[in-house]
Amino acid sequence: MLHVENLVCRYGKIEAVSGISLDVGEGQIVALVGANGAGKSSTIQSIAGHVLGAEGRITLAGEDITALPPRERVRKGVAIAPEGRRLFRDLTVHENLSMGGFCRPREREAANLKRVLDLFPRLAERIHSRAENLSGGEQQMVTIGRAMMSEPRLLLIDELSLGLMPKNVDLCYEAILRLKREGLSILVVEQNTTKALQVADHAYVLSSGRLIWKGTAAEARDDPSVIQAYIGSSAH
Amino acid sequence: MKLIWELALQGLLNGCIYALIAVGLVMVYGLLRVLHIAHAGLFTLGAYVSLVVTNATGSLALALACSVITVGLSGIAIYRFCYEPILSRPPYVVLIVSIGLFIMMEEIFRIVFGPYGLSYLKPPLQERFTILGTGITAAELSVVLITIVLFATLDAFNRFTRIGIASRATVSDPQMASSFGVDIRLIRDMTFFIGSAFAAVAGTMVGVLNNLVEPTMGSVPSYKALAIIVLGGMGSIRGALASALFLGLIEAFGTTYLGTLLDRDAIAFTVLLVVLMLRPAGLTGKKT
Ligand SMILES: Nc1ncnc2c1ncn2[C@@H]1O[C@H](COP(=O)(O)OP(=O)(O)O)[C@@H](O)[C@H]1O
Ligand SMILES: [Mg+2]
Repeated sequence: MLHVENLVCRYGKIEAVSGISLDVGEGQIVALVGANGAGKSSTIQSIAGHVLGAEGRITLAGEDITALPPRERVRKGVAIAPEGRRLFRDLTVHENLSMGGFCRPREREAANLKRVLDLFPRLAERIHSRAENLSGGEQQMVTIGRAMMSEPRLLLIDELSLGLMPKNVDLCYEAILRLKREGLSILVVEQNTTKALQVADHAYVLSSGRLIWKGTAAEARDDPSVIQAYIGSSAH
Repeated sequence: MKLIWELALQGLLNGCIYALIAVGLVMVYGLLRVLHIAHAGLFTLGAYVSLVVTNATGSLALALACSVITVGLSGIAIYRFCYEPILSRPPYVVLIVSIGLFIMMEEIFRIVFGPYGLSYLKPPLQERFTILGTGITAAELSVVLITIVLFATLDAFNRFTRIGIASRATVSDPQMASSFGVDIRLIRDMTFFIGSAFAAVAGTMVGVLNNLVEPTMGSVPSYKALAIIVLGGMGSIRGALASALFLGLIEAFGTTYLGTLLDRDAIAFTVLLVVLMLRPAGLTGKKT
């Protein structure tokens, strides 16, 4: 579904990502893990089209989307649940979700909304609350829901579990497993390596902008030293 | 008692005019974090277009339509040609450009229309009514009604239309808005058009109320509107509406009861200072 080749991101003189390549197969969950500052967010932001001057080649289902601006990429099926959630704070939950589906015909909004509320029933109760008044867990649900409103083929999630209570972490992971079963391809960035490896098919370990390990999640799970060796020392 | 009603009416009128002007500034500030001083020049342009067209055709309605469209498009042109190319610079660069633009517009009005101001050949909306024992002209009544209708429409637009919600989303987080398919440039064009159109209406109505349109008529509103958006908590349309009405009323009553001490503008800015000392985030702003 997604193929990234030789991605390089620079911010001025800092090279945050130095030529990484990765793949997300159709209907797969791929985990991208690594310590703070490893370049995970830069990678995910480049795939969404937010990093100006990112180099490399990004293809979605065989189609080259490297040159497209973010608002064209979302039409092609790339949706992001970014780090820090970045909800539209002054807007209600309903309005946030509605904005998620901005690039799709209005007629489909009701059906998409129903699907999101089905995924996160708790949001139905908060539908008219302003996003800034929600709890962290609810905000993360809106963030994922907002992305789902755009009918993505590839969902990018940055720091899925960061700052969430364990109960909400489980809720969010159940939701993405369900989305996977429905055929969605998902790239999830996590510092919570254990949790991510439980649900992922494949994993990539990033350190200082380079890929230092890749393989199936099962391999990583069976031999935790693989990943601990790389990020255990630098993780806090 | 009669005096109080008259002052309240006067305050309400001024407040409406201030609100119509300030809303454009608020919208532009929310979107770009830029103080759009040249907005006051658009207000004057609106007054001139309406006066010239009315004097030529005899129809104020037609004139208002021409004014709204001309000024709306001029607003977009200012954004596209003067602000957009320098948006990546520090905000004061845009501010200086905007002030320069405002001065230039005043000079252009002086050259084109003459320094002494123009009047309506047949002043429109002069019919008189009596409401609650107070005399009111059709022009004054129109100002109040137009303001109510325009603000209600704007509010509904922002809350119930997809593009209106998208413009609020863009104010909140432009990058995420564009990430979900919103065309940021279109939103900016639209914002400048709507804000400028409101200023055109304000300029037209001030021209009609005073039966005078002069090159410098934008200068007092320019700094008064700034005071209003600061009072209203920057970037909030409702806040601006509330503080515009508040300031209008304060000025009307203040001029009568304190007129010997301070003039109208001094009263307005004294209140601004006092309010900001008590509530730094503005009248309606959240305490942080
Ligand atoms: N907008 C930015 N401007 C400058 N440097 C940045 C920016 N974003 C990230 N960086 C730098 O790039 C590196 C990678 O950051 P990031 O991609 O956020 O890593 P991660 O998400 O893995 O924590 C860090 O050294 C960070 O300081
Ligand atoms: Mg990150």
